[in-house]
Amino acid sequence: MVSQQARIRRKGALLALWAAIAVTLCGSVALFNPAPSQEALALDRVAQEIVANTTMGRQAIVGSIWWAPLPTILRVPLAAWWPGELPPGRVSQWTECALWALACLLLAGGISRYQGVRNAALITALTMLNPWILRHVMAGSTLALTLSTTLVLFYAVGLWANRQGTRALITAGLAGAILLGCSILALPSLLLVALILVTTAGTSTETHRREAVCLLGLIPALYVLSLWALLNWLVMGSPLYFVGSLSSIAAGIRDQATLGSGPRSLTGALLTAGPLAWAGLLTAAIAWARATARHHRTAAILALLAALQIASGLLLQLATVPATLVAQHLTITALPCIILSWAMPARPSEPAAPVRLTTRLLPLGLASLLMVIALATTFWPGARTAAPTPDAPPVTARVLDYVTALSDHPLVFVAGYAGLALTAHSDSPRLLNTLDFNFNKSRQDYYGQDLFLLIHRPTALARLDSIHWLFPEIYHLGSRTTLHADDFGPWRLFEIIQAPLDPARRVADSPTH
Amino acid sequence: MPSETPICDIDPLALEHQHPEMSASVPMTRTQKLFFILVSLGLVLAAWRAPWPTAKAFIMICTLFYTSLVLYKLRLVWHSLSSTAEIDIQPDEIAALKDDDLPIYSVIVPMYMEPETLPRLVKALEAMDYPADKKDVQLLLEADDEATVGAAAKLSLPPGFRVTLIPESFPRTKPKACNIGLELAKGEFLVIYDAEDRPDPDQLKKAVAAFRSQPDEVVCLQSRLNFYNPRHNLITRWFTGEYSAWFDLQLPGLSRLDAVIPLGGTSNHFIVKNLREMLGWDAYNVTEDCDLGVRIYRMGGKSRMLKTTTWEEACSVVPFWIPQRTRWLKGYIQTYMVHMRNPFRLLRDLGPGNFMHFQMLTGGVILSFLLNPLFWLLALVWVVFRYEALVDLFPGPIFALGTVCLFGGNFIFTYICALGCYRRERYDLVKYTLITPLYWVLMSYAAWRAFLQFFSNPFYWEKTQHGLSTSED
Repeated sequence: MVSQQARIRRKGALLALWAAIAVTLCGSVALFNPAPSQEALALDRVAQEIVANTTMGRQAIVGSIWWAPLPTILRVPLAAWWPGELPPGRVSQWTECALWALACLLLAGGISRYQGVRNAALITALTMLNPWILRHVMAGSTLALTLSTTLVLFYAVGLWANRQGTRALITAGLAGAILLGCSILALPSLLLVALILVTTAGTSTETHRREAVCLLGLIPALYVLSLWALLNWLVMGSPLYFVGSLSSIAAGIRDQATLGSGPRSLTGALLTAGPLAWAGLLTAAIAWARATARHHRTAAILALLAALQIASGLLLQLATVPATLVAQHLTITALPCIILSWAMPARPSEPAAPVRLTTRLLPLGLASLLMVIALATTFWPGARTAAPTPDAPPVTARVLDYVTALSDHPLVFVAGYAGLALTAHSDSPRLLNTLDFNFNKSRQDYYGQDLFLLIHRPTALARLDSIHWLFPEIYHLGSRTTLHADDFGPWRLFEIIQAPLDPARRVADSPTH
Repeated sequence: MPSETPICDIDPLALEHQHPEMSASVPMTRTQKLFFILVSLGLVLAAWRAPWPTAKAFIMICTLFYTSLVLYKLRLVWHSLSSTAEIDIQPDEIAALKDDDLPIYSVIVPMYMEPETLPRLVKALEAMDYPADKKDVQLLLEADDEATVGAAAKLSLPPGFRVTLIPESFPRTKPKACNIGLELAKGEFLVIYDAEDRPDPDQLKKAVAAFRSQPDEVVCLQSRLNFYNPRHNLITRWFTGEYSAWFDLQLPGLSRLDAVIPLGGTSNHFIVKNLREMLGWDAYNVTEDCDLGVRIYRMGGKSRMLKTTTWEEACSVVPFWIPQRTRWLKGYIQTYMVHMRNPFRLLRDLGPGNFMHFQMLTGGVILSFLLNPLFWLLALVWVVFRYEALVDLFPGPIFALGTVCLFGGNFIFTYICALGCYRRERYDLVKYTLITPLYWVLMSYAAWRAFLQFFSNPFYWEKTQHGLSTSED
């Protein structure tokens, strides 16, 4: 009975701590008003569309593997129930702050099992106050949930490999599913997790047990994938719509090969990944070697998975996956795992045993080192280009000025998720977001209006928007039914060619009339 | 020869006579009837005057209910994985028990029209690791059940076994027979088994050790139940998954949370003195075990899960499975209605936590089975016909929550079944649980049948047919 009360008290204290951290961070965001990232603007917009129960909201939530549904779903409650209007991106910023606080608690909780509360707090602070992480969190980009879930998943797999506990198995299974719902970049890590589950599920004679372990460990993630496909079939009309952008990546690689430039070399990719990925890979490898030497299976698996995740990031970068910061993102999400692996003492069976000074100092030193590297990385030229620079108001205003000068009844389709971020600051009814653009349907639905199409240059994530794989080269070459109108920064405006209409009918048939 | 036992002084309906408010002899009180009539009228009126907002509000409430049920079940399962979820008696603790120190243990087995199971039952009870002179086994046979009484007469019952004939009277239910068995019990502890049960041989000793290790307030221990014929066909595979999830995950989760446990039909071990003080079982309730589980907590007692298994026969034929499930669910409705006669008193008796557990485990379970067909239908209509008006029924956040419930919640329930099989080490059955949603259709059918039967024939006991699959897997 006493232990139950103590447990309740502990849970209460943790909840209070989480709330305090989350509120502090949310307060900082409100006070200092940091600029939200383009991703945050887009996600906020999607959350609002879901609250409004629009078709576009449903399309946005399932229509692309690069915009995973879970981060958006987590933004819905705040978007739905916050009284009053929030500035664009604020919902994302606050949600990420709360999730970041959760990640801090998880990491501190994990480390405190091996290092004591004070050391755990210090190591956690050094790891999680990493400026790279903080910048992303404050800007509202989706990082914190991926970071927490990666930590939980890898740790659970480590525990499973060590002790084969049921709780570890289901934690790994559910965390895998959540991770996949957070980011498609988790797929390589999940394949590694699957490999570990299969190899540790029992001897070759225990066929049924092995089968059961695999089902419990992997079915949740497979279910998420099939559900994603099902929802695509229901909402987008094709079960594979969400992976359509992969064809554009493949085309990109093929084009590079044809042009003679070829895919980047591994050395090139490693060099351009920046020092953070380098340092992460190195420390993960050392952590793995150290844990293996000490026969600490959980720590070894944790470090191994972290190392392989960073390596997969480098390989993805090699395969010209457009997000230039993929390797850094995967490194950052693996960092807490490396730290936790280092923090584990030599004898896993005796977590409460006194640990040696070097064991205490190593994770602290490592966390400090990574902090320094992260600080340096913040000023790394490649990273600085990722800083959010919301140029939305001028672009939308200029586009609107342009089209209203040409026509009395203009309507501009703003394509893709990039378009969601662009229109976050605009409430003009003449700007209409579209995630699944169709020329014929647009002409039919908006009969009588002068139609325009605004497309972002196919760079970074914008390159994966459906407009670029539904109409390849539309940005560069246009199409048979478009005329180039003008360029607005990275945005290109096309006029959609239509048959001339009788002026009287033109106004009468207009849906916005 | 069956022993002739004087039972004329025993009142098997003591609970109804002394505490009618705790008995299901009256299925619904006048106040409850009035309440339900008013609520139904209100709903009809609202649906007539403002159909769309009424439907929206209804769907919103249902979605919130489903969400809380999913989270609740997840919580139970999580707690069940703790090492302290059940009382786990180790072999050395059993070995330390001396025969001389063991108390008399009463075993009661109510039977009706089950002559074929008798020899195997006697064999299983005789094989239990407990001194023969300290076993007090009563076979509770209905006086007019000539077949079973005759079969018992032909057997030479081992020492410590006796037959108690239950005189014919209304209601003809298992709990009424149990109440007579309870009054005639000679032991300090008592356990109830069904005719087809095969308890683990060391179960009685484990129960004694467990009772001695627990505080006085623990008056009941529930053993795990599972099936000895899980691989007979698809129904028994699903049934095993469901039972494993219930007895190996959810009930241990409740035990760990110190929550009210709706007892399972057999293998409930009691302290006789306390059970008599509680006036035994409610003779009118067709899931008297569930009712007793709640009553134990209302009267200040506690129940715990004991890590030992009683093996039963899974009903393998749908036409027999449906009546069995109908009775169980009808009993849950009875239990819910009895204890909710005065919700404030129930809240005071159980406390807020256990009050919520009760709502979720009895009312919540029934409600979900009743509502499921409606939401399956809505989903089907939307998927097949793309009837866009349905979308308007789900305001934005509710649509998101409803989608999460539909896809996430149903998956979680399936996953829990799979996990139950894993926990029970029935590894080969895990894959079959992945299609368990088909089994839920049967459950919903049984729930509606139970709901209607609650009004038309509340005390009718649909007897489960046993002996359909005789072989063990």
